[in-house]
This record gives sequence, structure tokens and C-alpha cells, in this order.
Amino acid sequence: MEQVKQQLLKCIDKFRSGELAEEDLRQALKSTEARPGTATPQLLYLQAATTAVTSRLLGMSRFDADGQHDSVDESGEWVYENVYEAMQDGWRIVKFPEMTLMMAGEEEAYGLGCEFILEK
Amino acid sequence: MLGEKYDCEATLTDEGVIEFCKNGFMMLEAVVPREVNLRVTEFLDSHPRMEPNGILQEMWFVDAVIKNPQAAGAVRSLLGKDFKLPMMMSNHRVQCPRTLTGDWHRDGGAVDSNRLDSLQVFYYPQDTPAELGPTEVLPSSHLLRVKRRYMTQYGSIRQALRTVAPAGSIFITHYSIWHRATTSTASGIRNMLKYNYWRTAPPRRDWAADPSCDLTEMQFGTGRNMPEKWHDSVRVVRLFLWLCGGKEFDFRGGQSWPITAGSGNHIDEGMPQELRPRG
Repeated sequence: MEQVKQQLLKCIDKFRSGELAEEDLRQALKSTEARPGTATPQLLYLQAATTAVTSRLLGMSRFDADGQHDSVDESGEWVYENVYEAMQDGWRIVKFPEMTLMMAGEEEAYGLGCEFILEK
Repeated sequence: MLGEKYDCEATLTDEGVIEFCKNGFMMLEAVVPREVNLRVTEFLDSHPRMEPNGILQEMWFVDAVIKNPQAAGAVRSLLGKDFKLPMMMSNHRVQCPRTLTGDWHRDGGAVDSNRLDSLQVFYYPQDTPAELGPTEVLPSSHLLRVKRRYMTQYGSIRQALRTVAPAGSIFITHYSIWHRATTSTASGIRNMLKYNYWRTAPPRRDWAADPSCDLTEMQFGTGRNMPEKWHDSVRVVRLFLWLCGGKEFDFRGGQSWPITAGSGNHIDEGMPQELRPRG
């Protein structure tokens, strides 16, 4: 995405100076093509106390190309207090808590809290 | 002594047993003498394998660690008389530093049950500060259902607890408790021995119990919303009642005991007859 942006900014500059050519636009078009191995998808697993996106997080884990990361900052503070804060930081929910787990008995709980999965 | 039966004085009170039922673990700090810790460390340095079972043949070790009065007293309280001593010894011997994330698990063989037929025990022969990567446990997680393959996405967990402890500390766990190794930043070797005890006698309330104890005043909830707010106390009572005599708890629902226990309302509706105060 950054490469596309830079290519388009270059095109705008050239347009303003009257130097924009077809080849510049073709280069910009080419930069939009997905290139295997260059994407850096990230997943964020958040376990919340309830199904509300504003409820306090019980657990957090982030995955990227380097593997799994715990989710506290350098001072030991949690990166996000709830799911909504993560959304404000650009994370998009791709999976909401598994509602079929409600079918278990009142005393039963499977896993840790209500799990949201987000991507960036 | 491999697997022999052993009996000793039960040391836990009703409150201690209930706390174990709630938390799924208990820490006994620095209960093993320094000279034994040093001797254990020497033994493990000369037997640096994953399962140094030979240490179970060393009577100085058996007496000071396996039959440690505080630890064995707690085990006796939870597993009843004539409990069976460990038959295998594992050493989680770690070369520090090392970096770890994730790795939450229940050990193989964990079962979801309201019974308590075994205990898993950990022993640190050296001081184990955060820098030496102590095991992290999730209190009350023995009340959660989960399969090992379905918990590998977990990372930071807010209520988790690192078992930072001085040399000679022993912590006793419910076998199903969630735990994981943690990152160590210091240099050197960290040993952690892990072993199991088993029940041989039917459960009875024969620990240092007080028959006059008013269990409407005891708090059975975990305070952690695990597994489910209010209902966590019912799960805790199921385990406690089973320990008291092997009976199943019939929860009456609503505001009956133990949902309201410890609230100061002294509601005994739904409390089993055998748990009502005597004397």
C-alpha cells in the first residue's frame, strides 16, 4: 500500500509539472498488483469478559510474520483495555465470540472468556 | 519408596481446602531447608535429564521434599489418608536466558471432573525470581473446560500469576490448571521438579476441619468470573462436597447457598445436611 501511495504522489508531482507520461501511470497500476510474500497480515486474539466490545479484556495475543507476541507494552501495561480500543487503532473484527458456547450448562465455560479475532 | 502409601497429619483447615478448590493451586514458600536445596541442585547437575527418577530413591530427598511436613500435610488434607507417593520425577531444567510466548496448556491426562484423585506438585530448589522464568499459572482455570489443541492462541492473560518464589518453595496444583513456561532474562540453569501424588482412600472431611464452621460465612466464589459469575461458586462447592464425602451437590438455583455464601446474609437454603454446623 505504501508503494502505491508513493507512486501516485510521484504521478501528481509530474502532472503538476506537465511531465506525466503514460508509463508513469502504468507503473502506478503495476504497483497495485499483489506481490506474494510482501503482505504482512496480523491477527489479534482478544478474550473479553463479556460479548460487549467495551468489556474489559481478560486475554490478548497478537500474531504476525514473526510469530506470536504477548500484548503488553514496555512498561507492562496492556496495549488495549477492550475490543473497541483495538478497533479505534485500526483493527477489524473478523470473528465474533462463538455463540454456540452459550448452549452449554450454566456452570460450564469453554476456554477463556468471549473471544474476538481481529485483523490488520 | 516409588509409589508407596504414606500418611501424616493433615494441615489444611476448611478454609484452606476451600481456597484450594477455588484457586486450583497453593504456594508453600521456602518450606525445604537450604542444605537440601543445595544437595538437590548438585544431584540435578549430575543427572541433567528430563526424568531424574533416581532422586526418588534418595531418602534425604524423600524425607525433606516428598514427605515435607507442610507439603505432605496439604496433600494429606486433599487426597485423604494413605495417599500414594510419586512414581516419576520430571525436571524442567532450563538454560536461561530464553524467550517464550504463548504455550498455555493443561498437562496431558487432564480430565474435567468434580473429583480430586491426584495432585501435581512443583518444587523450586533455587531462588526463582521473574528473571529465571518461573511457571505462570492461571488461578481457577481448573474450573474451565478446554482442550489443549484449542488453547494455543492464548498469550497475555490478565489474571495469570507467575510463581516467583524463594528456594525451597513447593506449589501444589490441581492437575487441570492452565500453566506455561515464561521468558527468562537472567543467565544460568533453573531447575523445577514436578511430580504427582494419588488418592487411595475414599474422600472424607478428615483434614483439620472444624465441624462447627458456618459455611454460610465462607466465600465460595472465585472473584474471577471463571467459569461464570456466581456459578463459579457452585463448581467450587461440587469439588468441596465431593472431598467431604464423595457426594454430588444438588444446586437449588436462585439465591440459595452457595451463591449467597459470604455475603453476610447467612442463607443456608440449599446447603447439604452434612455441611451444616455441628456442635
